[in-house]
Amino acid sequence: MPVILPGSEKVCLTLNNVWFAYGANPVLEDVSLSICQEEIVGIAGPNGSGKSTLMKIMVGLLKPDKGTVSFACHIDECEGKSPCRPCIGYVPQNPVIRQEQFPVTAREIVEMGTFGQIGLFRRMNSDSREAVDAAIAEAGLDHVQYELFSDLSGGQQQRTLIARALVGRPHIIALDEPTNGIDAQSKQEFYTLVSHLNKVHRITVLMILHDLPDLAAHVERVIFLQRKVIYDGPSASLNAEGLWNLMITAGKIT
Amino acid sequence: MVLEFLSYQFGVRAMIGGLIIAVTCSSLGVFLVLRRLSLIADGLSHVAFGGIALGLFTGIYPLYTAVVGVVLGSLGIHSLGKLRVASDAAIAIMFAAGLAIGIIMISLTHNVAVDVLSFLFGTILGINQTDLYLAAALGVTVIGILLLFWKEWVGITIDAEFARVSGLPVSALELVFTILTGLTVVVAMRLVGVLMVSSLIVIPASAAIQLKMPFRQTVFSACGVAVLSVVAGLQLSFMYDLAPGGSIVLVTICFFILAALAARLLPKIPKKSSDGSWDHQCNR
Repeated sequence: MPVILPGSEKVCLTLNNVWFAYGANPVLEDVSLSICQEEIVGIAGPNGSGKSTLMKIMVGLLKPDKGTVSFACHIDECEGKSPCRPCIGYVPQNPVIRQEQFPVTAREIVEMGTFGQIGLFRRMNSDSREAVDAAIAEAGLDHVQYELFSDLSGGQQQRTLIARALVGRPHIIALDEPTNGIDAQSKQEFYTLVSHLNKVHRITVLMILHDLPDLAAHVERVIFLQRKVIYDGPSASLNAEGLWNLMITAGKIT
Repeated sequence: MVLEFLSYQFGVRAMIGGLIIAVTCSSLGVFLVLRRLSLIADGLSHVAFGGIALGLFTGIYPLYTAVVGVVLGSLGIHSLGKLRVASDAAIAIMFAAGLAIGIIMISLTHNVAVDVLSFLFGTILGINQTDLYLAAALGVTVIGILLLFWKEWVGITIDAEFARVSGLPVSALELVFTILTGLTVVVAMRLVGVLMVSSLIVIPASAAIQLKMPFRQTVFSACGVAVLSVVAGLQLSFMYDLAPGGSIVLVTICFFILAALAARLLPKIPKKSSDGSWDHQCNR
């Protein structure tokens, strides 16, 4: 199993002068930032500020027009790999399975988390099935694992997607607006799970969040975007007034 | 008498060819319907029509030119997608191109009306030994590749974005899948014809999806619906002297209606319960 080398403050993900545009529309301009191992980072900003694009660049779904993305997981077996795909778990915002009556169970979705690591032409073995069992137990989905995904509550669906991201034993988990469309109780359970993953399993957490109070309450560091980084610092130093000031600043940039 | 047509050589060939096509089309169909690519079969069937017309014009066996046509059409749809053309627009462009080539080739070729009609509307009762061998070879190839990359297709169908992040070669697999669809279209059009080929791909899959079962069972159910439709459609065709392609498609539609009603009227089947928890130990 991967072993994290000593030194919890090590940088595990670095973006240097990243630029990205969809056609003629600039989305990210000269974004530079570093994520340290075991941080809980909230990415915020108005609609269209480039949050999801930034996350897609971080997880390798998009390539920046200019600039570089580099990983240094400090995990013995991962060093030298770039992008270090097995080390990142991704929870997309609106996978198509959320929107349709897909004939797929929660367990089948979690199993998908093993496919990249198993490799082409190979089938799931006992190790991968154990990893799926473990991720399902971790996310508290034992009792609904054979239910259709579309029959689950919003909170259970979200935990299923997190379990899928956990199967590969990631060192970084990236969640795109994870609390959208779930009720208050499920939201609380979600943050408890995130905290557990971070504290117990030492997973670095990146989350795009819309709720400003959640930023202050559940993340250690806030990156506020409006095409470029306009705030990057501890959430503790951001009160409600500070967050509103950031929104106003972002509005002026637009 | 039930299945009396099997006492004739042409009936046996029709049944074997029909079953190969039923399994191939319906298993691919579940993936295509869930990925909202139902129309790709329609698009590629018209590309195949262009290939057939080219074969009739040049004197080459039409199914061979159809295979080449759908492979090129698949590459065309994939390339247009890379150019950020929406998938439905890319399919429509290939659809139009195939039809245009077909019409031009037919206008340049004399005395092909009967041959063209046989490909447009299907002649399952008239398939010869060569057609059957080709159908068997293509069917085995398509099902073999489908099984070889089963988990990858499932992953891409469930969530292509996550599959890409996981490191699966999504773009290459999508191209392979499009080519498989094209080959399936070539196999199926001999049975029900170009005009109804997408029905065999879309309708059994849609019927099975109505039943809300896990993924693997959904694919098996789609195959079951398609196989039963071919058998019942051929029987009806033989009994009442109906067009076999049309009969088969109408039976699939009956199955779809039954499945939709069953999904809404019958009580929900209880799911398998969890078989115990696993005491997770983090090894970090």
